[in-house]
Parts: sequence; structure tokens; C-alpha cells
Amino acid sequence: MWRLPSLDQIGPEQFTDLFKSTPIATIGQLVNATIVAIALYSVTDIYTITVWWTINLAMCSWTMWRWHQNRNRIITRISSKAIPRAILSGFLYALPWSMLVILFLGEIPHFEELLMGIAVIGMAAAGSVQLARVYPAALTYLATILVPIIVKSIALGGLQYYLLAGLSISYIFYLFSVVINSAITLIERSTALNELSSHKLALDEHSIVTVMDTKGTIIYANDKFCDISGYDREELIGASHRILRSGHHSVEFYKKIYRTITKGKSWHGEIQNRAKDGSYYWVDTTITPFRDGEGKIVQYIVIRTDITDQKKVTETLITQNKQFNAALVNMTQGLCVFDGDQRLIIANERYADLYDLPAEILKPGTTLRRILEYRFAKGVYLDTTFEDYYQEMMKWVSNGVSENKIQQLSDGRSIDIKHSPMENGGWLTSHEDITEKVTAGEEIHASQELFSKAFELSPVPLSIANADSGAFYNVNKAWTKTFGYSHAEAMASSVAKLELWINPDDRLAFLDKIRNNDLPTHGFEAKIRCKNSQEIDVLAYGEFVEVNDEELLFIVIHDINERKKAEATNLRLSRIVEDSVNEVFVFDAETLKFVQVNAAACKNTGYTVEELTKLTPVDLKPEFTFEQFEAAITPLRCGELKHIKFQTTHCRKDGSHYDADIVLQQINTGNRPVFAAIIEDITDQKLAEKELAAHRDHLQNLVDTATKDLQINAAELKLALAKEQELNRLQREFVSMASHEFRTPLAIIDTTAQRIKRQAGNNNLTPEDAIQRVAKIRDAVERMARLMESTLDATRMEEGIIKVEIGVCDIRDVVLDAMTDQIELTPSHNITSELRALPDEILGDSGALNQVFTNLLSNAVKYAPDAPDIEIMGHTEGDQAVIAVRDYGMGIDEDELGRIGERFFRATTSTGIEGTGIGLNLVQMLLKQHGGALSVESTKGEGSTFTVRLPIAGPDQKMLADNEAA
Amino acid sequence: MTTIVCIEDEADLRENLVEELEDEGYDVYQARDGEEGLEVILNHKPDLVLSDITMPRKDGYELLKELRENYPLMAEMPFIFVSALADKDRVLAGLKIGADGYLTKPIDFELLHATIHTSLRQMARIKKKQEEVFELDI
Repeated sequence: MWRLPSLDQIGPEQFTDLFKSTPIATIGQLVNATIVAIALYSVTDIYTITVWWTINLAMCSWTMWRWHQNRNRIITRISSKAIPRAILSGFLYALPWSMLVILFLGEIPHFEELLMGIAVIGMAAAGSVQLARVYPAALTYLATILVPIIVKSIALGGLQYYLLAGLSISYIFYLFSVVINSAITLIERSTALNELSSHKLALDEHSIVTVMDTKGTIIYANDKFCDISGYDREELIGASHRILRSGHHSVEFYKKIYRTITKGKSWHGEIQNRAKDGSYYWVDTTITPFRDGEGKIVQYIVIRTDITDQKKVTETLITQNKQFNAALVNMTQGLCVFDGDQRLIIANERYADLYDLPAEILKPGTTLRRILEYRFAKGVYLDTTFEDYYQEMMKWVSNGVSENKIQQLSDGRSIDIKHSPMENGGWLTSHEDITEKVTAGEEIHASQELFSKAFELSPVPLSIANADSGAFYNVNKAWTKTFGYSHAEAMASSVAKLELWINPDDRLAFLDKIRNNDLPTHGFEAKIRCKNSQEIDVLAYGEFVEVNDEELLFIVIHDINERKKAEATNLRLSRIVEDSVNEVFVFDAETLKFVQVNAAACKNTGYTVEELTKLTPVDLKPEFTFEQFEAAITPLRCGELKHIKFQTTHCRKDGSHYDADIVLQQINTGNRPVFAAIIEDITDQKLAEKELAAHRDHLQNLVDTATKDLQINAAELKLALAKEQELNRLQREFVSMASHEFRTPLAIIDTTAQRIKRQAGNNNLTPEDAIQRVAKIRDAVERMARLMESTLDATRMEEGIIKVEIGVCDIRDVVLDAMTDQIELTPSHNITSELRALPDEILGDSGALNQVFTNLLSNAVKYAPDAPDIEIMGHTEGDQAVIAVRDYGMGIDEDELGRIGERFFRATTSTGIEGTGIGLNLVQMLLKQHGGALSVESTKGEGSTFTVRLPIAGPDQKMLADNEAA
Repeated sequence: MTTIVCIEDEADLRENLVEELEDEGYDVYQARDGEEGLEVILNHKPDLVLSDITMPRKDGYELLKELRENYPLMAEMPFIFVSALADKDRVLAGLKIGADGYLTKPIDFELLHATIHTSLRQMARIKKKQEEVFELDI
């Protein structure tokens, strides 16, 4: 059922308007009034209804007017369900009422007046009670009905009516008692409401208050909210709370708020909002959901306190704290701060790292004792006990002065600990790991020692002397050994006193060179006198060293006595190489330029040494390009081969060549790797070889010629064999063809004979039958005769029996004769000719040519059984008469065209058609005798054109003679 | 009645063959070449085929091959060549691709009848055996 909100569900603003004068309620009331009016109309006149209706309309108008007046302060909630509910409610109130009116009022005398009075009283009561409560109002409406019932009951008389009247009256009393009770409650509530109003006023004064509906739309905002947000109330009402969002909080933050309040719980927290002018402010916010009578959340009250200033202070503090923490974290020292109660305030991570302290120990509030216990439990300290250490600390803490000490840890680390007292009785301690510093000092000491040892043990004589006086500062063992003086002797003396340098000026020059940074890289060559007066060659290197303001000279001596001896040996070897008869070339491994050559090399090549140093081996070897030579020496470079041997030609300066036998190897001694080539001139040797080769080639030629002859013979034999095989094949094909072609007419003859026999045996042979069958036999015989003739023609041809006799020949007649014969033979075909362009006469054999065209025409007919048109066309082409026979028959496969004219060859398309494969062969032979030719053009399935070309002047006499000779 | 298809391109010979076979009491259908032959065979489903080899359009070899490859239902239909190709190689080739008999021209009718008869008898035997097997299966 639709209910108006009860008092405890009404927001603070509504206390002043108890009518809940929403338009909805008004709609309900109007519906109610209308229905009752209709009910009344059925039993009374229009006057009564008008009065009834006017009263209701007046009440509704007044309600609406009040609502309109207060609309800004009243929270109006119109849901989509509200209107139908209002209408239904109006119905339900009106229904029983209307029924009663119809049932009873109809029979009452003077009921109009009575009804009017009742209505006025009822409405007045309803109006007054509506001031208190809605339910009583409804009851009052009912009472207006009960009164007429009572009147009616009394008027009707009888016990049951009296009973009904009594009940109604008591009910009216009950209703009035309810009304009075409600009135009292109303007075009490008004007092409570006043109190609440003051509370609200106080809240409004102190806090920022808004009310929003379930969609977050602001439906109420107090003055303070308007002040802080900078918006007018009109702008805020109906707007979403979102307009306040500052962007400071995440979407998740707002979602969380939404989830909390939609569950019906209050949310409390701090929110940064944005004012209309874009400035930000912080508010401590409480959002409380309000429920309706059914427990459904209808709106949220948002109460805020401005905490912007407070927030700013907090933020500054946090920032400072963060900076402090960052400083703490980044410090290389471990740092801990304790308060006056010896409790930890803060310690950085470095401190934790130094002593390997877990996080839970380093929580603020942990006592110094606890931390120290932990440190000792881990055995961090080496030479002190926990109690001693603790007492010591307590001592200086109470003294209140800074202190500093280095503490050795059991793992070898050294920690520099600095204590600084603070004003509040607490202290700050820094712990720094100085192990590395200590170690570094030790290392310097060690390296000094190492240097001394190296100096002493060096196999090279070393000395350190004062640069000016030459007084020795130190000499090593090798020095004493080389020069014969003991360490003590040297130390007691100076360079000059010992007369070490044979030429004292050399020493000055040496010093000058060092000063000018002009010392040769291989050292300064000098002669030194030893203690035993022996003079030795040395190379000296030197460097001035500034030590404690004293200029010292550090000299390294290189005894080169042994080397000098070796040089002498080398010289001898060089001479041998130089005088060698073999050419010796040494060239640089990288640039390939010659770096050394011997006399023989210069002599044979004709170049001087200087010229050769500008050349490379490739310049001497015309058979090599640079790349080829590189490829040849690659195995040497890689170390794959120790040496390579090869022969090539060398080119002299004058352009002449000589053959060279070369041995090449890489030599890696010295500064740069080089290649050494030892070369022998093998020109004479080569000459001898060449002669030998010439002899060998001659012999080879003889053999080759013989072989070639043999090969030619073999080829001829092979050809002969192929010819033989070809002949055999033709023979076989002929036999096969003849067998098949003769067997067919034979079969016809045989079967016909067998038929005659059978019929005759059955006395069933009529004369007609006999004639017909004999005709068949004769046809077959004729066919056989034709085949035989054709075969014989071919054989004769082969054996030269058929000879053409050349004479004047009317070619047109010849063609037409053949054509007429063919038409007689096969009237089924339509043969046409166009021969006007042919010459009147040619030289040829009429008989032979007749045979040619007869063959061509019979072929045309035979191979075009279903295409009756055959054309013969003749024309002259230069000195040739050209006659073409065209049919539209089955044609010939393209790849078989070349074989047409081969003896016994039959095209694939001719399968099933009688023939020997001799006709065209014969034609070709006859034409050949005339110096003519046959050509074919054909498309399979479309027909063929056979073209005959005959020389008008007849065959060449010479050709004829040749043919005859053949 | 036993049905025979006779395929032969030589009209005279074909006439003689058909007459002879009809006299022997067969129901005979004729064709002029392999292609026509195939059509007639498929139309009449004969008990036996008698065919020449060398024919236009489609020769006897091609016809037999096509029958044996594409029409398994006629796999057992006897097929006899009657050909002028009489050398041993050709005869063997014909038998190899599945002919049930090979008669060379000229034709001896008695031999022809005997060959046809043998083939048909053999077919009858096979059929009977198959039926027996069929009954046993039941």
C-alpha cells in the first residue's frame, strides 16, 4: 500500500510542513473525491455533488498552494510508481464509502440536507486531522459515512438497526478519541520538532550539509555549502555531486564510498573537493543513508567539516618527514635515534644492514637494550661483553657529550661509531663501515713491499741515484752482479766516484736526452767499466722521479755484450745469403713489398736493391694477380703449411722471362712477420722438359688420329645398323598391315560362303539371297585385288620397275580424268574443281600423274566418310603448277604430319579404314620422279589439304640422270 | 533368351555375323564401332559381347578397358574379340586386358559358336555357384 512517509522518516526541512503536500497526495485525494461524487450522483442531485466536489477541490487547491510556497524547502520525491499508487489508494478509500452511500442513503428522508451537513462536518474533521496525521484523516472520512448509517438504522427501527447504530456511534467515539490522541501526539511532536529544528540549525551553522537522492543528485544544500563551494543554491539543486570532484581521488575511492553507502552503512572520510572558482578544499565528510518505512534507502545526508587548513599543515609535515626519511635512507652511514627513555625513535636501512637487524626489531619504541641484545645474540661484537658495552653506553649517555670510537666486528669489519646527545635526553648515533678504508691503508703498505721485492729480484740491473750528485739511493742484486760492486760499496759511493762511465760526457749527454725526452727507444748505448776493469757494452734507460723534493734518477741497464757477439754471427750468415747463387727475396707479410734481396736476385732480375724495395712479388710474376698471390700464400699465413713450393715465370726488368722454382716460407721472428722466397732459375731445365713434351705430343697425336678413325668407323657401323633395323621394322609393319588388311576381305568371303552353305543345307537359299551373297564375295575379292595392286606398285617402285616417261602433258585433263573416275566410283561425294589458273601444258608423264591424283582423291573420299565436299584447286606459282586436294574429313594428328608418305605408315585417325600405307608413298615417289613435291596441311577433325607441286618445265635432266644412276 | 552384342565396322562382315548368330537362336544387337558398342551394351546389358578390335572412333581395346574399369556390375560379362590382328602379341595383349576369348579373322562359325557356348556355360556355372553360396549364407 502507498503510504505517506511517517514523521521519523521526514528530513529536517519538512518539519514545518506537516501536510506532505506533494502533488501526488493531491492526485490521490482528487481521485477519491471524484469516485465518491459519482457514487453520490446515483442517489442524489447535482447540488449535493457540487457542494461535495467544491469542498474537495478547495482543500486540494489549498494543499497545492502550500506545497508551491514551500517547494524549495520540501524534499519532493516522485517515483514512477507513486502516481499509480496514489490513484489506487484514492480508489480504495472511496470504494467502501461509495458502496455505503448507495446502499443506505437512497431511502433516507431529507437526506440532501443531512448529507450536506455530514459532509461539511466530515471534511472539517478530516482537514483538522490531516494536520495531525494521515491515517486519522482516513478514519475521519469513514466517520462521515458512519453517521448516515446510524441515522438510517434509527429511522428503519428494529433491533439489528439499533445494534448497528450503536456500533457506529461507538466507532465514531473511538475515532474521535483517536483524533484527540493524535492531536496530543502532534503537540508533543511539534515540541520535539522544534528541538530538532534547533539541532538542525546548530548543525547548519557548524557544518556543511547536503542531501542527495539515491542517484547522487543534490536535493538540498545549506548556506555553508553554498559558501564553501561557491555555487548558488539554484545551481546545486538537481546537480550531481560529481561537480565537486577535484580529481585528487581515484575512481576506486568513489566506488568504495558508493558501495559502503548503498549497503546502508555510513561512510566517514576526508575528501578533497573543488569549488566553482577551481580552488580546492578538504572536507571531513560523513554520509548517512536514510531509509523509508520499508527499509529502502531513499536519500543520503552528507555532513562535512572544512579541514583544508588542517590538511595543509599535515601535508607540509608529511613532506618534511618524507624528505627526512629520504635523507636517512640515502645516507651511507647507519643512523639511529633514541629518545630519553632509551627507546628507538627511528633508524635507517643502512643501520639495519650493518648489523643485519630484522625490521621488527627496528620498529620505533624498541628499547636500546633489546637492540643490543639482538646484536650480541648474533655475535656481532668481538672484544666486549654485552654488559660492558651497555654500561659504557650508559656512561656517556649520562655524560651528555659526543663520543667517537672504532669498533671491531667479529666478521672483520671495522665500524666507526659516533654518538651525539640530543636536548631531550635522547641521542643520535651514526655507524659507518670503514673496513675498506682500513684495508686500503694496508694495501698501500703491501704494494710498497712488493715493489721493493720486485726491485731487488729483477734480473735487470737497476739503480736509483740522486740526479745531481750521482749518490746512490739504491741498487739491486743484478746491478751488483753485473758491475762487481757490493751493495754497501755502491751505497757508500756515487756514480762519479766509481768512474762507471768510461766517458763521463756520455753520462751528461744521457741525462740531457732524458730531460729532453729524446732517449732512443732502444736505449742509450754506452760503455761501462766494471770493478774488475772490464769494459762492457750496455743500453741504458732512465727516468727522473721526484720523491720528497729530491730529484732521483731511476736507471735500467741492459747488458748487450752477448747481443754484440750474436750480431757478429748474424753478419756471417748474411754474407752467405748475400753470396748465394739462389735468388733470395724477403718481403713484408703485410704490404708484400720486398724488404731484403740478395745479389743474385738483383743480378738475375736486372733491378737494383732500391728498385726492388718498391716492388712486390706480384710485379715479378706475370702469371699472378694480386688476389691469386694472396690466395696462394694464405695457407702460410694461417700456419696450415710451413712452406709452399711452386713454379712460375719471373719477368726481368728488361721484359724477358725466366722460369723460376720457388720455395716460400713465412718467418715470424722480428718486429713484423715476413715471407722469405728462395728462387732457382730453371730455364734450362724447362727447355729440356719442353722438348720431351713435344715428343710426347707427337706420339699422342698419332694415337688420337687412330682412335678418331676407329670412332668414325664405329659411327658408320652404327648408322648402317640403324638403317637395317629401320628396314626390319618397315618389313614387320608391312607384314602386320598386309595380314590385317587381307584378313578382313577374306573374313567377308569366308563368312559369306559359310552362310551360303548353312542356308543351302537348310534348303533356305533363295536365288536373290545367292545373288546378294555372291556380290558380297566379289566385292571382297575386288578389294583384295586392289590391295595386292597397291602392294605390288610399291614393290615395283622400290625396284625401279615403274618409270616415268616425260612428255607434253595436259595437266587439267589428267586431274579431271581422275576426278570423273572417282565421282563414278563414289557418287556419295561431291567433288568440285577450279583449275583455270593452271598452265595448259606441263612436261610430265600423264599416266603417272593420273595415278597421283587418283590416289589423292580416293584418300580424300576414304578419310572423309561423313563430309561429302571435296575441292580441287589449281594455280600457277612461278615455274610451278600447284594442285591442292582439300577434304573436310577426320584430318591427321599434328605430330604425325611428318610421317605421312612413309611407306606403310598409317595415321592414328585412319583406324578401321582399309588401307595399306602405300598410296601416299607411291604418290611421293612419282612426284619425285617429276621433280615435284607433296605437302600436307591438316587439322585433326577438320580435314586435310594435300598440295602437289610440279615444275612446269618437267624434271631437271641432271636430276633425272641422277635418279637413273641411283 | 541369350542376348549378344556384336560390334564390327565392316558392314558385310557384320551382317553375316548377325545373321549367323540369329540363326543360332541368340537375340543380337549390333554396333558399328566401339563408341556405339558401349551405348548398346549399357542399354541392353547383354549376356556376351563380340567385338572387332580395329575400328574408328573407339577401338576394341579401349572399349573393353572402359567396361572393365568403369562398370563393375558388368565385370563378369564374357567379352570375345574377333579381329584380323592375328599375331601372337596382339592376341596375348587382348587376353591380358580381360577378354574372355580371341578369335582371328577369317572366322570359322563353328569355332565361334563353340567359343560363345563355352563362355556362356562358364557364366552359368559361376552364377549357380554364387546362388549356392548365397543360400548357404542364409
